[in-house]
Order: sequence, then C-alpha cells, then structure tokens
Amino acid sequence: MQLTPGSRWKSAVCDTEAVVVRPPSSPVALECGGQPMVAIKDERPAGLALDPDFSAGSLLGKRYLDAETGLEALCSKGGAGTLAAAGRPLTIKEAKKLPSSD
Amino acid sequence: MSRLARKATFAAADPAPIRWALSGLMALTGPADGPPRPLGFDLMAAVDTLIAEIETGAARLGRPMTVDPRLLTERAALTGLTRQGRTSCGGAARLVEARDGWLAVNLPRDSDRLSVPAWLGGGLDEDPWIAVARGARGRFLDDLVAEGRGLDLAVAAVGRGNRSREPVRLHRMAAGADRRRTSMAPLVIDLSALWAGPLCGQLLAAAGARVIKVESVSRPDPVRQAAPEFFDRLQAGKASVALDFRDPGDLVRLRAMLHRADVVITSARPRAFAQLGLEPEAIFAGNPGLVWVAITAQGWMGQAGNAVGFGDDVAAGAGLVAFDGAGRPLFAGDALADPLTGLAAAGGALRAMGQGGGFLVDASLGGAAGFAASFAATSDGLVFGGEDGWQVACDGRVAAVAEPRARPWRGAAAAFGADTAEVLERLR
Repeated sequence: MQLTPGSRWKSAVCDTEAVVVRPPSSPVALECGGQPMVAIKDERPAGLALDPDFSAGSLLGKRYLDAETGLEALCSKGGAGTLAAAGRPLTIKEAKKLPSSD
Repeated sequence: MSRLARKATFAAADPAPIRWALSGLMALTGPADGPPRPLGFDLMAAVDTLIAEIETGAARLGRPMTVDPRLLTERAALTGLTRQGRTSCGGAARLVEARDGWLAVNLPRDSDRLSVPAWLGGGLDEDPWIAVARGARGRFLDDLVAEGRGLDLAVAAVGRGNRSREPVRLHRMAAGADRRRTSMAPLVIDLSALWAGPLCGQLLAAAGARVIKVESVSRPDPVRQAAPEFFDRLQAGKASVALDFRDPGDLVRLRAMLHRADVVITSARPRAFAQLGLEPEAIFAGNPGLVWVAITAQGWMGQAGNAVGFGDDVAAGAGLVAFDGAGRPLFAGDALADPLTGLAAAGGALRAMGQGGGFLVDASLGGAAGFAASFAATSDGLVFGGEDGWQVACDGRVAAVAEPRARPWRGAAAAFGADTAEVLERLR
C-alpha cells in the first residue's frame, strides 16, 4: 500500500473516501471499518463486512492523523467506518486555523 | 465623510479610470517596481450601486446612514500593504500560469502549504510555491481547480467565474414576521470572521442595529491579533461574546440567541453548521422572521457550499484583474472580493429585513466579484509620471493616483468575550 501524498483510497465496507496529505514515516496499512482501504480505481473485494469495533464513522472535510507514523488523510467522502492505521483509530485534527491574513 | 464630501471626491461624472485612480485601489494594483495599472472595469460604479442599496435600505427602515468607500482600502492603509504584481498585497496568494490560462492560488493557512504535495506532487520540505509553479505549468485549469478544491485549497481559474446580475441571492426559507410594531433596534448575531462578514455586521450597526459578535473560544477571529487597528474599524460598537462550541450548554445558548435574532451573519461552510446541528431549516422553523446572511466563497447551495475561497483568489477568478504589458494578469486591490461582499451582504440583509425576513441571503465572494465584473469600462486612461507620483489622464481629466486610505477611527473593539456574562444574563 503506497500511501503517497495525493493518493486516493476508498473503504472496502462503507462510503468513506480519503486522500493522503502526509505519508507515514514507516509503511503502514490505512484501514476503514476494520478492513484495509483499496485504491480509488480498484474493485472493492467481495464478502467483507463493517467491523462493529470500527464503526464510529468518518466526516467529510475532516483531517485524520496517526500520531505514531505522522500519516495524515483528508476525508473526501464520509461513511460509516472508522479510519485507522494498523488497527489504531485515527484522530481528528483540530479545525484548520483561520488565516491571520489572506 | 459627509455625502457632499464624497460627491466632491468621487464625482459620478468622472470616467472610470479617474475614479479608479482616486479610489486608492489603483495604487494597490501593478508591479512593486513599476507603475500602478488600470482596471478594465468601472469598479466604482459597481461600488456606488452596492452603497446605494445599503443607504436606501437603511433609510427605508428609518435609520438613514452614509457609507464611506474608503473601506475598500482600509486594510492595506492600516497594515501598510503595497502592490506586488502577481503576488497579492497580503502576500498569501499568487497568480500562476497553467497550460490553458492563469490560476489564482491562495495558501494563507499552515495546512494549505502542507496540502500542496498531495495536490501537485513535490517534496514535503520544498517551497510550496516552487511546487505550485512547476505543477501548474503543464496541467489544465479545470483539473487543477477540481483537485485543489478536493483538498480544501482556495484556487480559481482567472476570469472563468460567472458574471452575475445580482450581487447576492435571496432564498425564501420561512414566512417572515411583521416586526414593524417593535421600536427596538434589530438584533444582529455576528458569527463571522475575517473581513466580509464583520464589515456587513459593522454596516448594520451603523444602520442602528444592536450587533453582538459571537466567537468560538477555540477558533477566535484572528484579525483581532493580526491587525488591531483594522479590527477596530470592523468591530467598534459591537458587543463581544465568547462561547465554547464544543460545550453542549454553550450550543444551547447559541441556539437561543439565533432564535431571538433578527439577523445572523455567518462565514463558515454549510457543513460546519450541519455538524453543530444548526442547519438553517431548523433555525428558521423556530424563527420565521430571521435573516441569515451566509458569506461563502461560491454560494451556500449544493456542492458550491464546500468551496474555500478568500478575497484575492475569488476576485481574480471573477476576472477582477489588471494586465501587464505582456497580457499577463496582476492582482487588483487588496482582497477585493472581501469588501465588495461585505457591501453586497449588508444591502441584501437590509432588503430582506424590509420584506419581513424569512430569507437566507446567499452572499458569496464569487457573486459580489462577478457583479462588479459586469460593469465594463470603456477606456483605460493613460498612466504617466514616475516614482515621485503617478497620474492618470482620461477624457480631458487628470488625477493623481491616490494612496490607500482608511475610514476614521470610531472607537476600539470590545475585548474578547467582554460582554459574555451580560448578554447571556439577558437571554435567560
């Protein structure tokens, strides 16, 4: 799983889509709903189900962070699954600060 | 400034290039090391139209007032900004050449610069502007804008925005309410930040409204710290309330304020209100006479409501740019879409109030800038002079290019949250 900046991923088990903004410092699997995410252009694998332990949902427009590897992803479509890296749920970054001058 | 004095400065008979020179905006347009540039639009005629709607609306509500057009240049005047050609006066936006035209890119937030590698590739430690210039060169505007907006970046294709005949749109949300019996000043809850929304609130205060600026403790209006004198111009006379939008109790208090307000002014995107449970549908159901002034980049409704945009990039997107001798675009004025939108929003709010409320005033930066871009100028005039002073000649009139100016100081802004206890007490 090449989590390069700009790479786009979709959940295997819900509507969630995400764009990688910051790559991880070491290789890690990006997951949603308890299953590895798949590249946006690939087919979803059949027979997978949403893991109830990873069903807190994802929110459009929020930035999600894995503190351990620095992986940062922007949710480009919300869904029912929880975004995670190697089983660690990602945390929502604080709302973007407003610019002090534009 | 009195009505008479304004007429003396901006005599309507003057041709567009002369009024552009006198406005203080021309001095903010052009290369740093060259002459100020003309604009191919009669911008001050558009400003006259926007101001006339405010003055008419205020008079209709029994609160006659005048609007001082120096508000167009006051941020630059008070913070010492100057023209920088294809870099915005504020420094955060640039005009960049793409394969099929020019792109306006604004990166004012730290998170924006971090998103550039995801947008256009390039190293994570590289100067983002080098990555933008290289990444834009071979690519088409439509793709650059779609992908940039997908990453929440403020990007626009120069001159591709819609011309609009109306500076704002009014959407009927509820039946309205007859408020003519009450002699109380209208109550305005101003949740907006930065420039356009706060200016709208300040113009409504000048029209006799009682305005309460409500800020989130976790996301206060950064202008207070960044440009205190400019902040005073936009906030003097408003009460200041600080609430914690993450606290359920404070959300109940905010909802109570919205149910009692005559006008609410916002500058966040629709999804921010949806995530707080403050959708307009729910608020209008409890307050059918409300006027909700929604400041957005490209409009409140539908997919456009997700777009991010600021004054410089949206103005350029609408085509409000000057050109150098080689036909390449240059930024015009300082964040020009911001003050235009503040004026348009105030006029729309007064019109909606005059009709009994029940409207969402869809006040987008793109709409106000597109409205201004519908006023064409028939001549550029002739720019002459040198470093010791530039002048413009047109149709037998000559005028010196005026420096940016600010409206006179009318008092200090209230300290952050100074009125929280008193306002909440009155709401009980």
